[in-house]
Amino acid sequence: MTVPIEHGFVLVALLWAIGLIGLLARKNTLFMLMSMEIMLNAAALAFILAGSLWQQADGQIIYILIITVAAAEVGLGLALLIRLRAHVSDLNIDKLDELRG
Amino acid sequence: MSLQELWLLLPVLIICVGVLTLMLQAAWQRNNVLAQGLTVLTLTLALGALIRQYPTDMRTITLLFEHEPIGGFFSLLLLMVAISVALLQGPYMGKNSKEVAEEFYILLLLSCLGSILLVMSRHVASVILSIELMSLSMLAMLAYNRERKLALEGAMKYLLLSGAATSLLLLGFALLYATSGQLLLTQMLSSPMQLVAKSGFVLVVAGLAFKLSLVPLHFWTPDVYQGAPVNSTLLLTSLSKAAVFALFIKLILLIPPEFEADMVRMLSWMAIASMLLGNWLALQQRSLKRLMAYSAIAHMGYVLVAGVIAMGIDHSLVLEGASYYLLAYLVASILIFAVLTLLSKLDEQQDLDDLPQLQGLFWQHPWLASVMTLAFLSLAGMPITIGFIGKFYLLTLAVKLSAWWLVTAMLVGSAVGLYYYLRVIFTLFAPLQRDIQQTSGAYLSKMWIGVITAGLLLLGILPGLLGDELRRILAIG
Repeated sequence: MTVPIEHGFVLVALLWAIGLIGLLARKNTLFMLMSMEIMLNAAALAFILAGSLWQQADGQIIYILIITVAAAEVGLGLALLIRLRAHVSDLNIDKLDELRG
Repeated sequence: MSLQELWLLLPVLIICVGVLTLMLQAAWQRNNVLAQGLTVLTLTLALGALIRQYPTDMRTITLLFEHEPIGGFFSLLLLMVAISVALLQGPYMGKNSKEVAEEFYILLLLSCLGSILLVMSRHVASVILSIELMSLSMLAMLAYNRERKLALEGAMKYLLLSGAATSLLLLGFALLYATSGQLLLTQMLSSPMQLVAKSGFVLVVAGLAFKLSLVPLHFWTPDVYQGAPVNSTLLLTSLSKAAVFALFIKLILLIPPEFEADMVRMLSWMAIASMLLGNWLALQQRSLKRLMAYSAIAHMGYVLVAGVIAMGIDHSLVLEGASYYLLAYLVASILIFAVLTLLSKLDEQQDLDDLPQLQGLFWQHPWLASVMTLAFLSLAGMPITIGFIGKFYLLTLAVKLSAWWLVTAMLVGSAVGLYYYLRVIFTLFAPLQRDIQQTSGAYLSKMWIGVITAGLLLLGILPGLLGDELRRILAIG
């Protein structure tokens, strides 16, 4: 029995929404980075689904590219996280609230 | 890939070689003057190579890239911006900075590489890779001073929000791919669009609008601008905007006709909201960087007007207008941030940013103040500067299309804009309050600023100089 493609896209939407809610609701920067990663991976999953819909390998290639890009993004994010900890010895994003006006 | 295609990629290859050379140099012996020299040399060579084989028609380079006149013109602009940043970084950093110097140049070259590839890309894979190469290396530059907490805050905000925006962009491309089965941008958008494909396209537009800081997705702009070291802000406000706009206009021109009316409506509202909100919020700013951020939002709104008009009437004139306006915006931004860079130091906790700190700049550094005044006048669209011609182009086009709402918003926005630009200029000419330190020396950077200022005036007084050429350069009409 094959899974209908629509179910896959519902999963994509759910994952993306989970990521977004995490990004908006969490205060811990590490978890915000993880939520961002979930959002990117939801989009990557959508490419795999689309690839399988058209029976092409292209979707999976794009998936690999997105994973690479997301890894670079998180690498930078973790570097910033270390600086955040050095500055405020905390991972709470609310400590960064000096820019306003 | 044939030898001919490799030859067309020459500017990109030169930058790649430059990046590798700089990495080797940093491993071998650290020397920031040498690194700066190598960067400027690389960029100049790339510029030379680009001019040498300037495209006259469209050629594809493998599946991923294309070499065409509009992209060529945007690449020229991008290289001009990158050279300015490279020249300004030396004086900004000073001789014995606490931060390492070479990595900034490597990141700058990578970011420039990403932006040029983005302008050239014709495939989803190359769009994703190049847009991320550009913005991730820019992100590292935004937090380049590790001691500044504000820079960290700005970079963190940019990272999290741009990650979310990237996921929107990717999701949009995935939906378009799911409905069309194609990954080439032209083929992807040429198949008939159903609801899913349309929502996919809107998501792509949203992802790009974030990078352009158009109104519903503009919230990050002022904070990131204010936090970042001023030279990185210059890169953010010019390089990424120009490159993303090139992709944006490419996508907009590919929209199938049945979807055009909806897009025109959506983009018109975004443009109107950007122009009005950007200018209005800029009114109350004391921080010059925040003011420039809101003014960037407004100016991207003006440029978007060109995109809207492009869908309505013939493309050639609009491309000309948009290119001219973008050139004017870039020149003015480069000059304003260049002056701020020469008055600030990377090692300090704050850049010279607060408006009262600049009071009386003219009486102490008349040349810098004059350059800044001219740049602000150009942003405001005053005659004899290039900004006037840019605005004139756009207004003429909007009137031609009878897009009266757009015309009204442009005029109101410009009037409001004039007020706060003049406020800055009056501050520059007010009586001197405190001593303002300028970086001494840095003759090369100052000469470059002089050249750009001369261009601003020359193209403002003799618009025909470029206006007639532009059609030929862009190979249209």
